[in-house]
Amino acid sequence: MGLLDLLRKLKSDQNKELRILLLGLDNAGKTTILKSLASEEVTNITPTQGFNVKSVNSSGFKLNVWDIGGQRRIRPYWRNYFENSDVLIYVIDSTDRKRMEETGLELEELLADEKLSGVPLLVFANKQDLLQAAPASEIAEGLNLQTLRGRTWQIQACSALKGEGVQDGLEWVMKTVASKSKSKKKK
Amino acid sequence: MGCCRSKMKAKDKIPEKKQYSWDKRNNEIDPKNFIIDGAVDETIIRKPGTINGQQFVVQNCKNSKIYLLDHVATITVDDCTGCLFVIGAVKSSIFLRDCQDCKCIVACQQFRTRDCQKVDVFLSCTTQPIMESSARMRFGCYQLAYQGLLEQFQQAMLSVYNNNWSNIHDFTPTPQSKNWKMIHEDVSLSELFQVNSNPQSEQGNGDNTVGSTLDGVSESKLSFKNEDSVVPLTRGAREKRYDDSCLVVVFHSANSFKASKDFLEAVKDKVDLIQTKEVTLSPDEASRIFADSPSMWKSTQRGPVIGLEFNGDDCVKVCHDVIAKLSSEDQQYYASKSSAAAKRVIDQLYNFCEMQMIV
Amino acid sequence: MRLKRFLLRYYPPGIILEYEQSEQLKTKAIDLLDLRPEHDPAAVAQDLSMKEPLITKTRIPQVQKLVSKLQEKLVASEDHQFYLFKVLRAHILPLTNVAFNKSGSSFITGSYDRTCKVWDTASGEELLTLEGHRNVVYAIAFNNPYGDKVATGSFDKTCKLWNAQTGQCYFTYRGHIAEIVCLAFNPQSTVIATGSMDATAKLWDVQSGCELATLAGHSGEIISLAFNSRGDQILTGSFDHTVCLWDVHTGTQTTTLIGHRGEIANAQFNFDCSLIATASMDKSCKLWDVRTGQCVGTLRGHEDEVFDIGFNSTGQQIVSASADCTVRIYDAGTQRCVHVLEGHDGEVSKVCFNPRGHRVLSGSADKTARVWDTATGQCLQVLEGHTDEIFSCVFNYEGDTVLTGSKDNTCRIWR
Repeated sequence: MGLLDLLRKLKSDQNKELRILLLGLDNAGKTTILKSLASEEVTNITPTQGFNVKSVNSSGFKLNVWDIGGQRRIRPYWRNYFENSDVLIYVIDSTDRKRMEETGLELEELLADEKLSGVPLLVFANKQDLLQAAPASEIAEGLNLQTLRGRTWQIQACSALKGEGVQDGLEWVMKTVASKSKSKKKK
Repeated sequence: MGCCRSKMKAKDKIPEKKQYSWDKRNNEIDPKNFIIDGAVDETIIRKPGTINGQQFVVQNCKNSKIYLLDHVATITVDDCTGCLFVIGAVKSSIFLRDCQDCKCIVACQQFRTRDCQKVDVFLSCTTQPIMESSARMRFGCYQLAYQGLLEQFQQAMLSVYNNNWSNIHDFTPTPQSKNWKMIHEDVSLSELFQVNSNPQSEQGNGDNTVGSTLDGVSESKLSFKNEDSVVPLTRGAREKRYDDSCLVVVFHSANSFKASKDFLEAVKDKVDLIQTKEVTLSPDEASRIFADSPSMWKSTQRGPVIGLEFNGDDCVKVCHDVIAKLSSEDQQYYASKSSAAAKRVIDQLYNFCEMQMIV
Repeated sequence: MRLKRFLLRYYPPGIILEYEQSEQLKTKAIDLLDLRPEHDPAAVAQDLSMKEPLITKTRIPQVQKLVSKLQEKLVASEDHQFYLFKVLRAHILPLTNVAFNKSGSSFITGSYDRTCKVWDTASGEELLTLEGHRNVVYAIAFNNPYGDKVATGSFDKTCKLWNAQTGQCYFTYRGHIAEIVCLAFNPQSTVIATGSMDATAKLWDVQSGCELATLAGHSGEIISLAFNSRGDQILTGSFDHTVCLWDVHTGTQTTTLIGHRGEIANAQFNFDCSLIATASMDKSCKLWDVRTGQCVGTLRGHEDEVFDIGFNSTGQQIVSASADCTVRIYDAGTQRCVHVLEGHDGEVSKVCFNPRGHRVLSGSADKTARVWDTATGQCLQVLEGHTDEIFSCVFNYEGDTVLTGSKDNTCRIWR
């Protein structure tokens, strides 16, 4: 990879490349989702200390997916990656009731940032395979997603570990991006 | 024409909502049975088979002893004070938040803490443990055994040979003092966990086995002794006591697990075990790591190898002697030819293992 | 004309004459690029005296001593094995670039954590943290050979100039409209050049803090730039597949090097700035004549994108690093590939010669850096230990210390 490759993933060839940002609290399952998107094994994953970036091909696009560490200490650095992001994927641990409010606040702050204005949002309600998981509808309600304005959004239940729901979320992303570029062309 | 169209619309099927495996899950399992909330001065034991790989939650407990002697999908421990936790095998992460004055024995894939104070952890963790906004944390090597624990490790997909207990990543280091340290090696687990404090215990003090007063647990033969532990005791990042090192590799076979145990038993009092690794090597990696023994390369392809790093006076000779006794047609070993060679190969093996673990 | 004193330049070998002419102090460099340890120093000194009027007959013994000293530096003393001296948990997020000052006494590291840190090489202690940028600090440089200033270029689109001893920020240069990804001081330390993802390069005044010029003309991101040794020309390498040459004083574009079919990864002047070597994602490297802008050769062989390229100190050899996991050494004169250095298990993104030119250092996505012998092409050492890919690696001027910066948030010093 190298630094040069990182720069290449920074710029986006509007027609062919997408910059996707994968954010969420620590332990939400972002890296597992990244590996799942890249069709890699998800069995031995280490807590992310900086970031991970992978390129995935889907529907004729090259997706540059940036998975950024979510510890409280390093969330201020999320802003490093906002510029030119095409899609925001926000991952939530559906079983972590104690931090539902915290994750809601972080998402709110993200959505208020002008650098992310208008960027489509996919919320993964992850870890649905676990016993304590709240259903996606409940999470959507708790996050007040219904009142979201100014961008297209979707919530998708998934279990990155079991490999379910992740591709469905990706499908929505690709559909949304395709129609966005169509409407851009129309203009 | 327009009429026809709207008629068609009404007849359009609403696409069925997609069904996932969790939608079809049987509802006989009550999530509440997998939460321990608000225990005070209690001893709670979950015997093997009673959790069976489900998620577990512990919160708001005080001065309690909690034994989860089974394999668990993932576990969060929140807002607990003065508690003791013994947890079998966690398939993914254990996350401690807002806990203080606790002691914990746990095996897991990921170990995480946030906002914790004064927690002693005896750990077997297959990736690098992390901590955030925590202080006075102490870490030691996991030492635990009970009937069925080894199978639980397998179900949780944890290797007893991949234990990074002594190298913690602190997200919030403080320049003045370190927020964590290694527990002194002479500290005994039974002392720390004071499991034998009950006078009705059948066994005497200093025996490290839990007495029969813990209902049901004695059958499991719960033990904190080094020699019983399913995870070998490793010095990890502790200062090496000797100059000589040796790397022994146990190649995969039908009995390599037992072979490793036998080897460790045979060298026990003669050398220190620093670190172990269980890893699958590609042919390229094998040729690089075992550059001095090309005949071994093929053996690395049969399955994952187990690397054992030793440190001790004359340990190269000690290891070679034991290999001579133990090796057979069915079980092959490798040992470094010299202490200097050992250092090189150890570095390469570890670096490779690190590579495998990073995304 | 009166000779005042001699100065030695080790890499590439040369003798600098400091002399007085019409009451002005001037310098003149005599290059000894082809000096070999086996040459007779007396004969070399004699030869120099015949060609250079400033070196009178009485000076010959002195010059002979200097030549011997240069030869000493050329001799590979018993093969230096690097060992890990220190691991610096330098930053809380991945490192970007690392750089030494000329004397090697200190070095700087840039990071995703928005800071640049200054370190003492001998002790590994952190001397300063340069804070203020609001995004990744990507490009960093000392104003070598002086080393009293540090410039940082950031994804926050600004460049900052700092005092290397006190950490005081002199200026923040604003003007770019996208991330700054490369920068350089001119040799006189009076100008800073920055290259940006906004497809322009800008020249800034070190003394006043003002913008001097915008070099606009590229149609793609500028990811590499370099001043020539006189400081009157600057090259810019771009993702638009071309390299441009600009006149520094006027800010005008003088030449465009067209020919590559893929993004430029890096571009470098050779020692006498008569040639430029370029590396491209089109899997090839090219050599260009600076004066005419013509491509004088294409170095083929790599089977995948070429990420880095460099000349050795004398300009006689070229080294390239590629995504095909190999490093190649070419003879600059014949343009033939003399060695293919195989061994890395992952893409090689950084490569350089040591100043003496008998070693190559490469950094790879396989988490290791490797030291190679340029004469035999053998891998002498694998510098292992990093737990994630190597983003940057450099030698110090003496060639006895190596720095590796990694995505694993640490920097390692090897001695």
